[in-house]
Amino acid sequence: MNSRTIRLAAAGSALAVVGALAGCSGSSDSSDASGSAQASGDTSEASIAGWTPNEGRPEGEIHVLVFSDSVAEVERAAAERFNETSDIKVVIDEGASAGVEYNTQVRTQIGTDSAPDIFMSWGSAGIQPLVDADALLPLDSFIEDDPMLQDAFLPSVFNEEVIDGSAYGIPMRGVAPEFLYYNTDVLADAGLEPPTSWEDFKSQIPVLQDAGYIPVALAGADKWPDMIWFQFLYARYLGNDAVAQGLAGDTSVWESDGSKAALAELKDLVDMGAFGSNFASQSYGGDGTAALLRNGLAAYELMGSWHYGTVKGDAESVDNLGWVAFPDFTEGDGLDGEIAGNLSNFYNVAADTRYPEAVAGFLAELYGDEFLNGQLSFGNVPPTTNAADLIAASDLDEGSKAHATFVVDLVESAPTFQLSWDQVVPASAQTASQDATADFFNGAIDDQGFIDAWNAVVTSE
Amino acid sequence: MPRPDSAGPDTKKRGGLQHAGRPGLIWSVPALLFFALFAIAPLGVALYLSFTDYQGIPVVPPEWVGLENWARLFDDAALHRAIGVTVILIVLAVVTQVPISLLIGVWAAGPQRGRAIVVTLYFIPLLMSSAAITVLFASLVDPNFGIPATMREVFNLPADNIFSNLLGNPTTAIGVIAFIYLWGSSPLHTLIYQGGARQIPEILYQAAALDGAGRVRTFFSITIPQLKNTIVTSTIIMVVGTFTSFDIILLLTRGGPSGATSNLPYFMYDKGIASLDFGYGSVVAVVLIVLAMLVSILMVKATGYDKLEGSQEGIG
Repeated sequence: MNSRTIRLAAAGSALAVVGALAGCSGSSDSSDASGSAQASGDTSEASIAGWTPNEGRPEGEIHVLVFSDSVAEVERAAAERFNETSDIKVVIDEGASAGVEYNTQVRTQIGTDSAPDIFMSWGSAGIQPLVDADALLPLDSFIEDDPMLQDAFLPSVFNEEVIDGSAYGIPMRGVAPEFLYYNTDVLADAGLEPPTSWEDFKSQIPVLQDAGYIPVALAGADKWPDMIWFQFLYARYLGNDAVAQGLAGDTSVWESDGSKAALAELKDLVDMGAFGSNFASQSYGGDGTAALLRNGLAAYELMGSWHYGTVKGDAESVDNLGWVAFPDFTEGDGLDGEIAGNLSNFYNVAADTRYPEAVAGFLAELYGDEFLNGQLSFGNVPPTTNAADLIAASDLDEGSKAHATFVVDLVESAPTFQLSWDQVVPASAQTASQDATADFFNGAIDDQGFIDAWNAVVTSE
Repeated sequence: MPRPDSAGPDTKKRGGLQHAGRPGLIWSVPALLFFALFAIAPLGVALYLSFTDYQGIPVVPPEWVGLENWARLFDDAALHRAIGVTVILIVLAVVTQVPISLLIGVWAAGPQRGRAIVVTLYFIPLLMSSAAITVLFASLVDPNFGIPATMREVFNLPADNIFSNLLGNPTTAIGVIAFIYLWGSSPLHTLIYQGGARQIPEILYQAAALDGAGRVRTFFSITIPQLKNTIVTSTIIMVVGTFTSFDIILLLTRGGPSGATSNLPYFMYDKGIASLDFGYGSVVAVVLIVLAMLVSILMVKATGYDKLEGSQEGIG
């Protein structure tokens, strides 16, 4: 009887354990800012706005919580370089390798003695609650002392984490716009060329079906790939400026005729079988859609620039992969060449860090050539103004170089760059936003159902 | 046959020792402490959080909002659907796992050597983590590279058939989840039934044989009644386990397509952890615990399991 009840209660209240742990460790006191600054032996730091040092943090160390995927290697190398010359050492803490778990780690630790000094975020919506809680350090004084912390980066990327005039994040991973990938062999076999317009693209779909291919691979089981199609159809019908207003809570955008036209076009694509009949079973991870494209089962896939590395896998090169910007429309209010995707990831700093000067020193690694070349070696195009030069001078293979150059050109020539919708909506509505797009593709809701669901997403708090 | 002189007279001389051997309240202290720390305390915190607005940031303490989260229970269609999915998964688990485990368990209780080898193979899923099992099945049900694609080729099926969209169709998606649970956990229940069946005295079967009962009659008139308590135990474990099942759903469908496989534990994770709404997530957690306890108590009462009736009176 006991053991059964324990199992029950333990499983049912896993949530509460997280809450309880967080509550227990959240009692650290960091109120005595001026006294602490003197204790650390550096009175000049007391002037940093928003800084409330916590002397309970480890002495002589700054902790960086890395997102533990393969690219974290570049951050570990940066820490080693920094530690060669610094008395205050960077300690790398291995974080989760899934976004949801990583964010939960950051949130439940922040403000405690064992919280990381530096951690990663995906954009302003994710850090807004931490900014509201005064838990993040504004980086403006760092930038005053070292303007390269801002000037090295593309303004469209850097400004994402500028909130109410203060900068909170330094970009640190690749810029990842989304565009069409295609299998060159499949297109050649069907006698087609990469599309030059939306009408051209749509006319290719029945041709590809007749030739026995899935026209467009779509990892519908993961939900977020569905959303990419919404991002581009809305960019073409409404323009990204209107989309941004809509994402900020203006429900009239989603009710508009342009919105309904975009939804009708998406529905048309699904109904004509552009994505095949089983996209809702298809996943992205575990070599899902990448294998469809690589092995010539599908012709196209709309995906972010990280897809190049995914399709390439462990192979030396990938010869049958092509890429082209999302086609432009002859109708619609959007500008030609408007894009969407992930801007970058950002490093944020805890407001109660003990050693802000050392933190600023470590952040300077993020625009150094060694760090940026490290990102390039993983296929990440740095969101920096010198990215094109870095790529030209790098020792990447020809295919990777061509791909990286395409990404840089695409970003630089785009009139607007809309951050992926699920990264813009409040964190509490993120899964609801992914569900709404997937439900529309699955046919579980119609256009009015999507508009209602989406209005609820953008107006939630 | 007990010997009257072995225990009886000694107990009076060594009364103190006999007394010390009796389980006292103090014996249960470690278990009670463990239970309080890992079950009651988190439960209390969850109950408290359910009355608050909390985003999981300790520097912003939970804010008391009274019944606000609880009021959301009643018009949340997604939650009601999650309760429905939970019930469907439990029903599927019971109607598939009980008969299969019972039949194989009783068969495996036989003495032949060949059975031991087959049964050992059958128990292999018990050694694998459910995460590994899920990853395995994810490849198997992949529409373009898994079993569905092979079936299409071998049986010359049309491109759009019942197997071609297993995780994208609400009915087949829940069927796949139920099948993986069947595959992964029926060996455990088979093991329980095997043990139970071996406890049935041989003399009952001999008597039945003398009366001319066949295998089917013996199974229903001897084996099943003798296994009554085993069936109840196994079913309660099954029901409560399915109530809290989460891992396979997270890894395989993430509640999709469109919430068709989102049961209460996944829904709780989705609201509490993924959406960082700890208040409402805790409401769901409390609902989950209350429902599971009610079902568990009902099952114990309805089956008379709490009275611990023997099934072998007069035998031996």
